[in-house]
Amino acid sequence: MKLPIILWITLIILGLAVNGQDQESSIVIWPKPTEETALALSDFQPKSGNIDPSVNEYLQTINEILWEDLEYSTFFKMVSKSFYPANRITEPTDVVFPEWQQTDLRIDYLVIGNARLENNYLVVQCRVFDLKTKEQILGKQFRTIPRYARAIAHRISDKIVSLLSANASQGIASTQIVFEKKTKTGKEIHLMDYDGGNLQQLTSNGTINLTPVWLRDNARICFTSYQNQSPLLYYLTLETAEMQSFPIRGGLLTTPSVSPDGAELAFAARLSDSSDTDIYISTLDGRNLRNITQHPGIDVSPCWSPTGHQLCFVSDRGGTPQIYISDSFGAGLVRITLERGYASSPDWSPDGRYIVFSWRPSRMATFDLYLVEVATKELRQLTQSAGNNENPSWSPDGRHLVFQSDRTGTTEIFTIFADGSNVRQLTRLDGCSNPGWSNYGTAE
Amino acid sequence: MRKIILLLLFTLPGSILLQGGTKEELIRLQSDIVAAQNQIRLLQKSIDENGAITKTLLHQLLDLLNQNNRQIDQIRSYQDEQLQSGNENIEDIVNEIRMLSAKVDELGLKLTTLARTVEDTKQSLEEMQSRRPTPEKAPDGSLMPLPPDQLYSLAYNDYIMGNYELSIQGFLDYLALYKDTEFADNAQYYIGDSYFNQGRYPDAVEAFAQVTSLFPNGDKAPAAVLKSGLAYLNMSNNDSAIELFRQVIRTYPDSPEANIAKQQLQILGVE
Repeated sequence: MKLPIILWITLIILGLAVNGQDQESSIVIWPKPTEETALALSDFQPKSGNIDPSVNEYLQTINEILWEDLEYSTFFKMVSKSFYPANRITEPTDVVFPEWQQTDLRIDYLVIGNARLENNYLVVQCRVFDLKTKEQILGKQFRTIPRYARAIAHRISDKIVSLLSANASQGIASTQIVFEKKTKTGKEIHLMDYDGGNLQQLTSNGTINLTPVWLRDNARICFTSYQNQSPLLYYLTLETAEMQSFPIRGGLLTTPSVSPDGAELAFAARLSDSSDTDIYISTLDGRNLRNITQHPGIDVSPCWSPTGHQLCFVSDRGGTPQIYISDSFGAGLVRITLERGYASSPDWSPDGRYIVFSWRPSRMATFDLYLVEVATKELRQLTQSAGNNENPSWSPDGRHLVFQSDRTGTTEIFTIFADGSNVRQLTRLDGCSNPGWSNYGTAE
Repeated sequence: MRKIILLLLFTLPGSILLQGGTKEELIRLQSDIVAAQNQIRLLQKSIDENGAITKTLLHQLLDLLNQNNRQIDQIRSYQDEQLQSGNENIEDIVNEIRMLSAKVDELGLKLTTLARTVEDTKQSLEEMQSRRPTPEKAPDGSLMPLPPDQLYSLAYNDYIMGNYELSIQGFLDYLALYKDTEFADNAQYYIGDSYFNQGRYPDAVEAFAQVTSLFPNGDKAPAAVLKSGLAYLNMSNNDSAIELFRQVIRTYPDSPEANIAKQQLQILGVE
């Protein structure tokens, strides 16, 4: 058998990457893989014996959301349902393999499932088949109250992505996004699923609440609030809605960022009237405070590198706001954006290779999202000709970004693939900004 | 098919490693492969483009043929009319024939262009194929090293991504080849910092010492002295740490690192 030359080359490069590095590096988003995994999702059916007809309503939600999640994950080519064999599949015995294995369909994996209502609980079963071997490679049952049908779909999607992406992603369908939303009295922190569903208001103190970020355990968020007059940092535990103030005080504390090991907080602060705004690092409870930008000029928006040994931040020490990196002591400063203009809100990619930020090049009127490769300082523009696009935040698998844009006339939250394609609007609420993408969900 | 791919995936790199040897050659090979990939992409693009041109020309050709057929039909019916009415206008017919022959000429020209395009495609295909598998060789037969900026970027990328074994080797390779370039002091500093981030503090101190001895006026010198101090601090050798922090303040008073050193002295309770 003769392999196409492009496949050979891909194999050799893959081989080099595997052999040449002790620590495995993450998958890069582009160039895109030449061969996509083709996935078929046969609509989940009511399980035989189910007598409550309302299960159909939940099944519709699960079938819709699961399809969207899998399609949006970037890992699969979803084979259109109109090509599937006609019979309904409730149990594995309903799968007629020769029909699904027809070569013109070219399906690699088949997802089937069923659901029933049992004592007011929704019980969903899901199975995945490898159509080449006819083997079942995933079998899982979920049991929850029917209100969480969406969440079940997200969890099924994450299981499938985690299984079929060769560890490139644990699945982001169960992740969530926090953001600021304008209100009559100021701004309150809100929460939604990664696809814009399940909107919840988290704060309601009637003042201004800004720049929310997630702690590593996803159980708490950290943000700036004016609830006690001056802008200080607070933690909010999501489950209990309990607020806890960060012990360090000053004229202004903002733009927090949690270290990869979850133990330290970097933030911008003006701790006395005589000082300028600098980047500080301390433990989560405010101990071991150190200033890493002891230099005249305003320094804001710190973000940790995935190794925790470097930070990137915005500084106007060179005249206009630009992106710099230094180590976590403040030594070894390097300027990353080489051109003039106004750079802001950097976020370091989960694999460490890129920093995404919003930038208004000189002579331009609007901000757009840009990626810079840290090692080469090469730029790649992600958005263009669509209003202002700002405050990007990476998904935990490094394949998507969430950001704010005023392209529709009001400021809303959008997501985009990390190669600049597939823009998706998440909110239609007027005045949503500063989104922060959560970490991977806690594994079962 | 899947099994063969998997087999290749695991056996190929091993054999390359056995044949190859140094990391530099691997990097070289990797970059050759990337270059080959690019050439293939270019070739693909060129074939696609030429394919598109050929298609367009064929369409134009067909259109012209159809047009001619229509015109010939028109002339025939016109001739019939003329003959029938007995008012033959030979001059008109001659004109039509002239126009037709001009169209035929045009067709011929297009056909020639088409042939040339096909020939070009063939040629560029052959060129690409002949260029692909031969990496550049130095006169003595060894592989040419990567240019300085590429070697530096590769090592720096490994440093940023936390692949410290690779970044140390990469920067050592860089210094072996390009020790007189502008970024040589940076390379030496990042070797030290890679050791530092791995917690190999004695190695870090040694590498940082070379920054100040080999490149005393380089812009990484203040950071190298500071990080040596921090390395000693992590080895619980506070005396050496304090001495080095004071050295930063004394030698590089205007550097940002001098302020960091002052802060460290404050934390240690000494001024």
